[in-house]
Amino acid sequence: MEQIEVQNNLIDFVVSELLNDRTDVDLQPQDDLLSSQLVDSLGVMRIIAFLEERYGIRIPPSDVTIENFIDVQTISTYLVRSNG
Amino acid sequence: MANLQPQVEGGRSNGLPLTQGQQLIWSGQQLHPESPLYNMAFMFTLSGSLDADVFGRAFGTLVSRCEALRTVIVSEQGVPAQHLLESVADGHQLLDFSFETDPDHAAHSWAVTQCAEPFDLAKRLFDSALIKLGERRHAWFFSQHHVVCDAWSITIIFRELSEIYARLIEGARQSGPAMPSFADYVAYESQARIKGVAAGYWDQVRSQAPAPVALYGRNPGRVSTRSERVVFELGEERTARLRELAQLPGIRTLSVDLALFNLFATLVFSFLYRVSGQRDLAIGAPAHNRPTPAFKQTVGLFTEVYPLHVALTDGDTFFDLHAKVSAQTMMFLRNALPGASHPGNNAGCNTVLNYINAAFGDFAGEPVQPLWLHSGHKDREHHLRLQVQDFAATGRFTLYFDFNCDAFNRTQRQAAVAHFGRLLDAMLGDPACPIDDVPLLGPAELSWQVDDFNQPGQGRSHGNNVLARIEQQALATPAATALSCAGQSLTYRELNLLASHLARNLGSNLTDNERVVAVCTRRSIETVVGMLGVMKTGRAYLPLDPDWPAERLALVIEDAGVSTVLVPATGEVRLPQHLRILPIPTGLSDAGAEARDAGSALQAGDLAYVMYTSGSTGKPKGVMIRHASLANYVGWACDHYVRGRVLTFPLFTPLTFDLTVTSIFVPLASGGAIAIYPPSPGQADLALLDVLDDNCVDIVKLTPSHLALIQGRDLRASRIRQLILGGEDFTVALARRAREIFGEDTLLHNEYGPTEGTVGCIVHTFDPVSDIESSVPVGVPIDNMRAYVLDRKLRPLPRGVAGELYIGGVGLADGYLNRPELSAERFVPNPFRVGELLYRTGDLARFNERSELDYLGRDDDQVKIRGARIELGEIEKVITSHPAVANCVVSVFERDVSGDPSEDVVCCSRCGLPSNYPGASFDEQMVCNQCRAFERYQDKATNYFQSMDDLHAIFDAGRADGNRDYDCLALLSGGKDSTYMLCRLVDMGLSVLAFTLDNGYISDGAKANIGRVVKTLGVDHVFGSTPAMNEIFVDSLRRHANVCQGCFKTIYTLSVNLALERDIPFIVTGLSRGQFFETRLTEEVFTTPGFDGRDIDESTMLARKAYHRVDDAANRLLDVEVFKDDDVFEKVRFIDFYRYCAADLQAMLDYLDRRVAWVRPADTGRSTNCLINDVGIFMHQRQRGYHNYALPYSWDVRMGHKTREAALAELDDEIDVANVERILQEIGYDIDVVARPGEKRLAAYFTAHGKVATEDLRAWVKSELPDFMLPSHFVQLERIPLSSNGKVDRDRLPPPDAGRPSLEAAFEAPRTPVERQLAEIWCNVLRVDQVGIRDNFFELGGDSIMAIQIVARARRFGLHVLPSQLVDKPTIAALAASLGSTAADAQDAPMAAGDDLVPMPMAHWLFEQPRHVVAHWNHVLRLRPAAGLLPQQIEQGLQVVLDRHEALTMRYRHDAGRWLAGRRKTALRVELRELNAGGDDRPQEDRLRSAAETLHRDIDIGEGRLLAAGLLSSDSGMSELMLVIHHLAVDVVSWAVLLEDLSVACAQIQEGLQPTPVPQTASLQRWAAALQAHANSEHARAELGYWQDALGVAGGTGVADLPQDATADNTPMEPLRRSLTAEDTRALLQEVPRTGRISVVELLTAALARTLADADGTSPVRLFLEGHGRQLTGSPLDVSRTLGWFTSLYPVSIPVPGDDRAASWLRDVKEALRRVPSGGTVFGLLRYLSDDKATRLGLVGGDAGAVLFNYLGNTDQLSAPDSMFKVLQPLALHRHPDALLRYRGEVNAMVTGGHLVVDWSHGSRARSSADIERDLGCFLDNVRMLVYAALGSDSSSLSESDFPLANLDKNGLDKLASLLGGKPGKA
Repeated sequence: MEQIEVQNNLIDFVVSELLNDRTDVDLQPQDDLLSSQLVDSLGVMRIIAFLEERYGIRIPPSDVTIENFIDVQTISTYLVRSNG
Repeated sequence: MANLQPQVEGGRSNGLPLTQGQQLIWSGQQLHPESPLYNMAFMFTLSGSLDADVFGRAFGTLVSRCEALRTVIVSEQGVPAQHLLESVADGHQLLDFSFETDPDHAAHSWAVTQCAEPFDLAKRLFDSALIKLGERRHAWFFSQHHVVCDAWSITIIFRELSEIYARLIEGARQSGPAMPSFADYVAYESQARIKGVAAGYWDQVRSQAPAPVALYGRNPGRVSTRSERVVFELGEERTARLRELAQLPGIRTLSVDLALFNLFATLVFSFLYRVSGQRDLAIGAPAHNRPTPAFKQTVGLFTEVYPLHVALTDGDTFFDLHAKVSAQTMMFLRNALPGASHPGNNAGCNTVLNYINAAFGDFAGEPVQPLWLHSGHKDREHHLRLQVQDFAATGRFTLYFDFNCDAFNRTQRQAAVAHFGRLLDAMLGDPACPIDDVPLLGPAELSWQVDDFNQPGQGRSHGNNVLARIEQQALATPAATALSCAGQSLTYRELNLLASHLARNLGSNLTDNERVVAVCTRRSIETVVGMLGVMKTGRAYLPLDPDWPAERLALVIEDAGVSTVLVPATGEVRLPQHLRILPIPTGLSDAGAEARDAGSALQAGDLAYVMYTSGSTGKPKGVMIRHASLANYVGWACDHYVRGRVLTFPLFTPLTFDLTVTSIFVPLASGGAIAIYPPSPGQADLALLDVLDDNCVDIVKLTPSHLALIQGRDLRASRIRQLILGGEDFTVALARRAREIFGEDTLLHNEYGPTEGTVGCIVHTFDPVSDIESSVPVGVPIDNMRAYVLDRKLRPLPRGVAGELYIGGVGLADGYLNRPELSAERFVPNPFRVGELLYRTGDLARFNERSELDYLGRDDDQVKIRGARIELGEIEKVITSHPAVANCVVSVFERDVSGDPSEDVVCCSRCGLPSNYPGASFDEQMVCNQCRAFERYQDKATNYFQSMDDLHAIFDAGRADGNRDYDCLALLSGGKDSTYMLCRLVDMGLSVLAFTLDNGYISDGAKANIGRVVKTLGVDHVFGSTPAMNEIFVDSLRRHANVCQGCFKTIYTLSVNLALERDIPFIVTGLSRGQFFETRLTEEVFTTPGFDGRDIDESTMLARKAYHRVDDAANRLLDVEVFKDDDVFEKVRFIDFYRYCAADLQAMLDYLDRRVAWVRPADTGRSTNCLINDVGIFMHQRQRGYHNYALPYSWDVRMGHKTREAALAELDDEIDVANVERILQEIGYDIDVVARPGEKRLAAYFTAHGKVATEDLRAWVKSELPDFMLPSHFVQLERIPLSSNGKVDRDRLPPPDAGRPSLEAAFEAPRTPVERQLAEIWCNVLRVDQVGIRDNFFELGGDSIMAIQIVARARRFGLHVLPSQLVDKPTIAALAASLGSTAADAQDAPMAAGDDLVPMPMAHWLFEQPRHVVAHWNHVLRLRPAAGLLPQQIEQGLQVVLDRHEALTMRYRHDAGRWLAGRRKTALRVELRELNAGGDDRPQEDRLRSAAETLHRDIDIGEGRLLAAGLLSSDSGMSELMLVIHHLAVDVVSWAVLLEDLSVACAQIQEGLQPTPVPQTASLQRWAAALQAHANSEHARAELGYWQDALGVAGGTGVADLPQDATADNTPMEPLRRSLTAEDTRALLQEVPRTGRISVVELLTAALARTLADADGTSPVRLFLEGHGRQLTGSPLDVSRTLGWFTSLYPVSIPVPGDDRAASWLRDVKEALRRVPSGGTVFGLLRYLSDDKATRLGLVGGDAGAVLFNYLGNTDQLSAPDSMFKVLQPLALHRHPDALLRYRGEVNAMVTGGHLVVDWSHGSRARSSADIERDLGCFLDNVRMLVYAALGSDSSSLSESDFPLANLDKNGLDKLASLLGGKPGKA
């Protein structure tokens, strides 16, 4: 699992599924998803569902914290760290 | 107005489906079309200058831009869709309230009203108004239906409007970017809908849904949508603290809002837990469902509600609970996908938490105050909705609590918010605080519970002992009766003397350390003397039951340390050897002359008595009661129940329970009396029935179980006016029944109290108006007692919440004798009163809304069964001590017998299946699961059906198989389906034998159809029948709650037998396709993987084989030999015709019309051919709550054979309950079963080494424990089921077999009517399906109370069973045999051949007629014998009857001016004549008449040939038996006996058995001798004067009034006949007797007397009445089964009341009749049998002026329901045409076919027929009027039309009405 690949997939997913292909957004890996309210908690759940399906993994509820899901980069770091 | 034409706009197609969220809102609105429950309304106060005109335009623009505002919901055929309208008139209003004194208030009031206006979903779904409040202040009111918006949407609308307004003000034309369309979300949802994982998750959540929370103990099933909002401002400080908490590690999460949601959810769960006690909880929470930025900008309904489940554990802190909540929230959010919600998901959620994170900004730059309005209505499923919001973005939360008004009253609403607030503050203060520790109640609530509730009776002194009171009473009323028992009694003085004497004797024997003296007596005078004697010595008495097992007696004596036992002076008691046993004195001769009053010496703290109760550790424990406690209870009870009167109490219950303390000490302390009912040794206790029969007590203390024993009695006239119920839960249903039985003025006191609280400490008197829950409240504490409902920390619980009941006060026991540790455990310090103790009752209770205590059952293993307190552990210990038993659990079970006819039934919108059909569920379109499932397998199912060609092929193959008479047997019910089938089979060229089961209830219409059809078609036809039909019906009702199952099985059984017999290869059924699906084509058949059409045939065959193996009545009573071998189904194959034929209804009807003139039967009232069908429908609905045709009809609808409306219309039956009851009685079904609630019984489950016989185990338990602790069921298990925590999992114990338990004895069916009757009674009482005659009563679960029920019920059926017989002979066979021998005691040697007989009075009466007339005075009865009964069998049966009853062979000869009677010298052979055999074309009437004439000629009284019989065949081809018997041999009672004997004999003969000799009762000779003796007794002569007065001929004329000249022109005319309507008859027969004021015969007599008084104005009216005459004062002879003419005929003289009102008539006639001595018998004795000629002559004459009236009762009941002979026509009397008329008229009334029928005969000379006709009409009208009067009806509702027979005019009506005491209404 390559972090860069995860990041790209994530950005594609967030832009197409959660941001309706909004053209005015150029989402960067470090963009704060949560406090900017680009993505809300329901959106995080969609991201989790996407990752689990895409990578065949399981993200335990206890890992769903703001520390792990603040931006695309943190998410991918978390993912690579916990699923190597 | 809205343009309702759906439009297409912008390419968007119209008629979009609703989203899941919309669907739920829409369905909710459909359920409450008039309720504004989904109105979302706001009022925004706008400051600053506002241009109202521009605002209006802005709003118009908004409407045109916003799709949601132009959307309407239109439903077609129940399917809703959303339509977008091109334009909508916005309806925007401009209002001006600025001139009001308080414009804001006025605007608010207007808005609150306006927001409750319901929307029409097909029209505009919003409402807007701009209100001017002042120069620079406006309010915008905006309301919208939730189906097109949510709170978030409204913020969008508001922002949009603000922007448009701002642009318009700026003069801009550009209207900004387009608003996104909700259609996009509809499309999105359809893709996203129910992603697999989410659906699985919610399915799992749904399957684990906890029970709905009973908030404050309340979970009202039916509530309205009314709701009230309570607002709770959180304020700055609390909000800030919350936000702080939200940032704490462990609480902080993805977003602040999510963290805040979790905190609020934690609070809501804590609150629910604390106000319900429930730990497993669910709430509903909306998810906003706006995952993308575009959706966040879209107006529409996005939210969906999902459940959140959490389970609390003991000691959870807020932190702990929060952790559980946040874990659940994560799962919740992950699975809250658009469209994933489901109505079933939220089952169990009656609370919703709505955390709203939406806010309104300013309006065009000016500040705004938003206010969310409450429409006053919300979803009724949501008892509480907590809405958290900060719409104005103030930074402070406001909590809106929307309470359902029916679930919370006003006080509870306020209290609930306060309780929530305390939990909130506790959490904000310290989230690590255990939730249990938070004090919930406010100071006012606390002081109410602790002090106010317990205040009323404090400080009333009742003295310090009862003994002193009783001794004072002995001084005050020494001669008054204190006790009576079996004819003996004691005065107060005598009682005191005896007790004093005993005390002296006892005192000299006792040692100082003997504190307790046992009294071991059965209930008797000694019992009371013994108790008082012990008290006088200053010791406590301990009651012991001599009937306890010796082991238990020894155990208690040892535990109590007793050395001295008082016993009765006579009688034996088994007591251990070492005791000092002293007798109790019984007579004053034993007593010293001096009373010794000891009461004054007693101290309050001295012990009064010790009473043993069941102990949980397996050892009973002695409760010590002090004198002060007893004095307090007794003193209070005297004040409360006796209230200064002198009342008699019965003592009839076991002395070892403190129930009897009331019945002993309350009367003695208040100068009343005790009526003691001793138990009979070895017998079950029947004393209560004796108490009621004796009617000599005023007040009874008893348990609810005792009370429930009293059934079907009218005790309103009883002396008993108060009942004190104690010992167990008293249900409201029972209380209501008690009021019916004892009358509405009877007080029912529900007295609660454990032995440890001295008898009773909390009390409530039943109030039928306010006591509407299932149990009667226990009420409030008695004087000087206190009660608390506490949690485990001994803190009061909120009102309504269940907790343990604690009691304190003067009545508290002094602990347990010699058990200090146990005492300390149960008696704990009272936290509210220093130095006092509380007793932990172990009972659950709560405060109800009327501030009374409700009892809610036990908190632990202790149970109460019929008032007896039982520790299950004690029984378990005894069973486990059996050497073979390894482990044991005893459990209580209750058989639920009544269904749940829910009031709130809805029906599937497609097929009409009702929601209470088992397993039915509906989706949001109200379509049932069966319809939905069928969608999936419809194609497969269709393949199952085949064509007529296939059917041809089957028959062709069958024919090739051999040469037979018939190709098939067709089952013909006479309905359209089977008739059509038969026609088509014939059309196919088949040779068909048609078969119909005559179940005794086939309608005449259907029979006519059958006759016509088979004749037209020319097919052979057979009617099958079985004498067991009624029994099969009863069995079917009991098993399936319908009659059809039994009928079907009978049809299959008989038809298979017939087919085999006639070698017919096929049986063709006419089952409808709907019936296939109902019975065999279930979903599983089709959805099994690898489904193959042939599998269905195979599984159908397997099912059929199994079906014929089920052990039911049909299997037991019919010939089922053929089914022993499964090959039978190869020899005879079943073909379902409609599998091959698809004709629709109209085609069938058209065809039938052309082919056979089939007519829909008009006499059944619905599409059935069978009159008993109503019974099945009625019972099914009553017991299971839904119609038994509900499922098959739903299949007919699904199959397209019926419309839903037609099906529902057919299911909406009006059933005539009286008719149902009549048929139930006819078939022998005991309807009481329906009304009786479930009873509690004990079941013992055990594991053992090897097989243990339950009989051994039962004996083992019986030797150790009293009877009330003996389990009724013993079940051996492989292992005892345990729950995860290692405790016994009682829920998983198998229910004890509901059917006949597996017993040692093989099943043997009852053989005789008595056995059958007993078996029926046993089944009903024991609640088992069947009872074999060798089955043991106790093995079947019987106990002593059931024994009483059986005895009581058997008495109703005329079987005199003694309880001891049931104990000694516990099988039906033995019992029936012993009944035979009991009856034999009354038996008498019959008269020998040639014996002489003194003719009885009625014979003498007849002998006054000319001789040839005497010879012809015959009864004629027409009967239908059961099918299959052969003529020779009937003849043999008649011979049995003739041989048995001497009356039938008595000779009457006239010799030397006298009639002589004697028995025939030779035996007589019965000859059964074949009458009109062969073709006889005369009308049936003629044939009947000539048949009767033939038989009349056979009667020869001179030869002793009094019975003649003949068989004739009627039009229908069925034979009928005509019996003619001379009246000298029979009366109505005789006929019933004769028919029973004949039926039994024929049944036995048919079975090839020897008829059992049934003993006759007393012989005619002995009876006649007794009559003669009585006629000459002083007793009889004393009545002479009375009878002369009644006759109205002073001294008698000495001449009978018979006109001896037979040619006198007074020839008898044909009697005129009229009948009363069925409705009036029912009122007369059923309602009138229930009033208890007057009997049926009294009322009829009153009506006749009135009629006669009106007709000729004479007073008094003279009548002759006929009684049954089978009782003779002082004679022990029983003639209940002797044949003969026993009736008494006697005159009554009825004075015409001065006052002409109906009530006066009823009263005067009743009094006149009740004055008649000896039931009238003596008149005939004096007149005909007296040796004194003057006496005889003194009573002759007076006949001619009188009218004879005879009420024969219900003649339908002459033959029993299960008789082999059905009565075809009422009993008729044929007299010789020359019979002389002795009375003015003769009126015979009887009930037949549900009508009162009156025959009025008269002579030609008396009056014209027209006169009589009018009299008859008046008589019936008088009957009706008196019925009205007796029932207390309001006469203002009467009109002429109510009295059609009398031709009343207005004056007549006024007169009538004035008689009734009212004014005519609609005249």
